[in-house]
Amino acid sequence: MSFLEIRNVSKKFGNIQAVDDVGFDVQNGEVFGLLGPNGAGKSTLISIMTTLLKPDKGDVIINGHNLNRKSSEAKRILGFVPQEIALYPTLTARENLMFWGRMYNLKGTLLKERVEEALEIAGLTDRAKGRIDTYSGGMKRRINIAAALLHKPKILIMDEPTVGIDPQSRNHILETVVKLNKEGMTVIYTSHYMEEVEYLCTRIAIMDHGKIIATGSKEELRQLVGNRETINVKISNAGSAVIENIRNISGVDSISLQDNELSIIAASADAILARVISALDSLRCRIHSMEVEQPNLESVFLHLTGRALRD
Amino acid sequence: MFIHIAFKDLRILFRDKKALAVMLLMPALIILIIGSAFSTMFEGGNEIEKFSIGVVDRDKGVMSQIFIDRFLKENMADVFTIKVVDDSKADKILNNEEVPSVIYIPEDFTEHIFGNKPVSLQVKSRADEQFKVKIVQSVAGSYAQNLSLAHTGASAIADGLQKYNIPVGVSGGDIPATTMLMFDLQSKLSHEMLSFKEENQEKEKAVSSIQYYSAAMLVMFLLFGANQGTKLIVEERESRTLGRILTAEPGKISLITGKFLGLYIICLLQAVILIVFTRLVYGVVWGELFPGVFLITACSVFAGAGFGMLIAALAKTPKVADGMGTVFIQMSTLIGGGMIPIFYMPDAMKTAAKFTLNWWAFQGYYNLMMGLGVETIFRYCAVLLAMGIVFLGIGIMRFRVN
Repeated sequence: MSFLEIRNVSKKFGNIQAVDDVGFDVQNGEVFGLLGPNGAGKSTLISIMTTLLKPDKGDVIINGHNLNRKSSEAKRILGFVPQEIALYPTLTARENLMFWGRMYNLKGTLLKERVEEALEIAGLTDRAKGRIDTYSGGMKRRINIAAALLHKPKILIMDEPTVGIDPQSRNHILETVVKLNKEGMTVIYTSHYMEEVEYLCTRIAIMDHGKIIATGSKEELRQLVGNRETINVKISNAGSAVIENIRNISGVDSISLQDNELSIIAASADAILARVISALDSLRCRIHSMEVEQPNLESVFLHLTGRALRD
Repeated sequence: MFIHIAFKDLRILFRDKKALAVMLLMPALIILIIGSAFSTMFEGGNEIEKFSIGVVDRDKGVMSQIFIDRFLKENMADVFTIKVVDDSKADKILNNEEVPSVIYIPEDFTEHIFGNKPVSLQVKSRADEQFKVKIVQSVAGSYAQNLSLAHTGASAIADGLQKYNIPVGVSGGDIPATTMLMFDLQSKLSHEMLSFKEENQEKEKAVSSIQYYSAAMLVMFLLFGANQGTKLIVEERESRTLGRILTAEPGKISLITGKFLGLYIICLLQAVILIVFTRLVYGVVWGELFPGVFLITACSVFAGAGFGMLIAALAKTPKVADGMGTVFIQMSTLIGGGMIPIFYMPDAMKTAAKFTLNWWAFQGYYNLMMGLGVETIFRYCAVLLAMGIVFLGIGIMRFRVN
């Protein structure tokens, strides 16, 4: 039996179908990635998995407990790291952790022990008396994660846990996830940072417009693109005609343009490179850099949707 | 678990120096400033303005006419004006709140006086306007009492004089000589009795401007205190900590109970601190009866905390909560008599005041400050509790964590 089962889950807000008939399984001890651009429906799905929202239809079953019926049992084994810094800024890190520990029904000595353990995991024992509003973004993120670990959950759901932080804190968080997983914790990790998902996750679901458009291991997903290569070109003076002109080049599978960066997928980069340069030159675009990449999750998403993950 | 939620809110609030200044320092200063500025409005015992009362003359005899013309219209001219009406009109003016009380002169009023029998006057009053009602009851009661005393005295004097064959006096037209003597005695007694009563009333209505504004500002800042708590809730919704609490073990009931308890404790502490401060520093007498002051405070705080939960449910951002709360509090304070004394307001405003939380809370404190009994504030407490329940009910129904 899977540790987490998502069965035909849908959620609509007014006319917007935020989550549309989504289903997947997560096995015990797995790090499962949920990848998709902003607005894909990841956070809504996470809210449903963490009992914050009720689905219009479908079921979420965690370790045999259906959230529609036995949410309190499921909540005891569930840890949630929200995308926002959901902490009290005027309280110290220790006071915050004490409060969140109490919210998981921890008391007395056990509570104090767990708070110290969580501070150690966050690497902030020496700053425990500091108020959260005096912390850097990365330190806040680490306490945000520590608050979800106090009751030693069996499954940890992390919603974009590394948004807007320095590389050092990001590495600390990624290594923490790896360590927790090695200790047996199942992790659901959502991000729009492809590199993080590629690094951490054993299996990945790609989400777009409320739907799961592909699920599998990294290798399985790369297979969807085949042996195609991605050419990334940084340009300036990009006009509206650029995409149309490049798309018309024979051998180009798909193309996207964001922040003056063209991403072109083709069966063979060598075969089209000269024509791409020529087309850009004729459109008076200045080329700043150009690189050819092997298939990755970014190119998988581009291949499946015709858009870049960052769109 | 809701206890931890409530105490966490208190800890956060006590770290917010700006909020504490708004809740404690500002009211203390404003009470002093407004209380001093408007003190002249409260001088000379004119806290209770002249009001109208109804009189139904079912007797239509000589003595009822004397009671109305000489006693009520002349002697009591400083206190109230008289509307002589029939029975049906009496109910109407009472129900329309044109008068706080109607005095009914019984059909046999003159006959009883001429026959040397005891007389009584019936007073029908509205449940509110306790103070005015008390004045009317005291006036009617003392008049009837004086008549009885005078009746006993006149009879005794007449009996004594007759024993020695001395004529009692001169009869006045239809009025027998003994009755004339009784009336003379009653008139003298009445003067004494009324002097005594007016002194009593002066003592009762001696609410100073600092007392008035202490009560008015306490209620206003109690609502501002609730609004501070409201902002905390809305900020928590925005920072997703409210949602995060629900992903842990507490359910929605624990969360809302914790939030309401937090608001309640915040407002109660604020009220207690302000009452103690104004008592010690400004010498404000909140009432002789501690249970009464505590009861009206507890009920006012309940209504205030309910109001806070309502705003928290309706406002989408802390700025909106702040704006909505501030406008509502200032309007209701103004209408409820918290800025301009209620007795200087036109009748329409006095009616409108009853739709505000401020008026009901303030009236409770005011009654206690005038030395009236705890039983006189039960009605205000009941209305405040009802308001709190309605606010809280709507707040719970509309409460969102996301």
